[in-house]
Amino acid sequence: MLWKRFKKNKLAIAGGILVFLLFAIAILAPLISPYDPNTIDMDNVLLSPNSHHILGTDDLGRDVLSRMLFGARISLAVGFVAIGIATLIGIILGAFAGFYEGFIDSAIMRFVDIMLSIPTFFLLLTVIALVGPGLSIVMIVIGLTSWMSVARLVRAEFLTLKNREFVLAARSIGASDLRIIFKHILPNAMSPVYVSFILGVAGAILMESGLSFLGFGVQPPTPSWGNILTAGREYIEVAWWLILFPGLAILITTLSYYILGEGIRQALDPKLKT
Amino acid sequence: MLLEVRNLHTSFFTDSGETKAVNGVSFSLEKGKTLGLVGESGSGKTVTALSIIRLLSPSAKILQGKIIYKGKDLLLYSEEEMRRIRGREIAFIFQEPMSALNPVFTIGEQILEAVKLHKKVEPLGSINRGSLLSRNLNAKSRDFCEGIKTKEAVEEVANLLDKVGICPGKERMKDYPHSLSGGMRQRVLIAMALACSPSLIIADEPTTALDVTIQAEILELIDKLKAENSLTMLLITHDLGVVAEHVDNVAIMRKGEIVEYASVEDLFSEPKHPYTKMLLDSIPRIEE
Repeated sequence: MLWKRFKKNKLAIAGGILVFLLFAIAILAPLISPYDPNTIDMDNVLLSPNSHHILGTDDLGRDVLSRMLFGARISLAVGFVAIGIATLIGIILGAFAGFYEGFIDSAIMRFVDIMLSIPTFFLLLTVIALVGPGLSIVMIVIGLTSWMSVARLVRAEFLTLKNREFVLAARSIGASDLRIIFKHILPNAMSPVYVSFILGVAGAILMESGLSFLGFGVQPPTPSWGNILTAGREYIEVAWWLILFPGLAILITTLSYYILGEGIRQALDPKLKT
Repeated sequence: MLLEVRNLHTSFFTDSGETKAVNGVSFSLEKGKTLGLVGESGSGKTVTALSIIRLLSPSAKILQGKIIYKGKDLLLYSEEEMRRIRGREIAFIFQEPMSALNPVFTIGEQILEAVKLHKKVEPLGSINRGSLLSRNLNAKSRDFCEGIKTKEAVEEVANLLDKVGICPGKERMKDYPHSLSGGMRQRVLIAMALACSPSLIIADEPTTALDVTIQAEILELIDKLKAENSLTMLLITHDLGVVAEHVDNVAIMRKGEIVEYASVEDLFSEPKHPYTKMLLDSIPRIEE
């Protein structure tokens, strides 16, 4: 039923196609990558794009295209795992806050306020300074700091949904609170969560790129769009391709997710008439 | 006496103070009979019904009274114990069928849930289930709601749907609430209420949201099911016409109190309270 609305929305289709392509590229990276991303070739250092290396080589002679393809995997992995964690936390906290209201609601919302007041990026940097950089840390910390908007959305849905009569009907056949929360109300509350998830992935990809660029995220030799940019920054006068291509990749990927997210939101919004 | 309500007082507590919704209501229900609870909007009928199964909103409190069901006072039960009563012993049929059904589940799933929730629950005391089930349900159903396998449960749900007039049950089970008409949805609610063979059914204005011809069909269906299953029913309505044909006894409620309590024949032939007379007079008659 929602598919029809989704199909009619050009934005959503465009976003969907792009996201799908990016996914395909990331998954197929080992197959379509022309070179091994980590092979050092000091004879071919800093070559501009040519017929052998379509996107050029970096300061260690590694093929940029191959590194970008594998970097895509990192970006996607971080995006989905981190936001997956965030969404899970957000759903649980939001559901309980919205359903029980009262003290639990206040406590959880104050916690949300506290978390929101902390600048995420700096929190990430602090944690990484203490614990050390790495892919898993990045995923977990982004996850633990991105759940707040989901929680608010879910809480808002629950506040209205719990007064619907089907909840009373479920109680009248003997359903327990937990059952009502997760089996009855939650499926009805998921629409804004989907949108939030997609947009969250875009944000997570940006954050990971930023961290890797600064050297706090994915460590070389593992390729990430961010850490290709790190090298690019040093050689910006001689190797524009090290900046342009990862930069474009981040831009296009983030944009695709945003477009898809907006498209889904428009498709799901009952007030917008397509 | 299956159910005895004695001196029930329920009030709502809001910022503006206390609002007495039920003010000293007492009535009793004999097994197999139907009591009609009649009154205008706001007279306290629904609150009385919800008080019996303790599904009131958090701002409401039952201040006093006893609700004796099968010899035990329900007001003394814990929430856990009440959950075992709801659906299993006492079933509730809501007024607005579309609101009462969850839009994301099929009707089969919703009825099945009623069954699953009471699957391994011990019944209250020792109840002779044989008399409650009609000849139409097979003997296995005696163990229905106690350790039944899912496949059998699904079959029973299909049977239930057939019994309430949604045929063929096996296929219609997969329909979603939004693809059904009002009358059909109400039938689904009735099926849900019957799923665990309750002893008492409380129907809160089950036909108010439906048009007159469907109303007649639904009431006929309810009568048929009542007879087949020897059900006891508390029927809430504001429609005296419904009362005239489908209940045994009547309690007229006004502003939280019962002003007249009589058998249906006595009520219509010799109404005693002025309010009752007013209600009867307000029915337009063709001759006038």
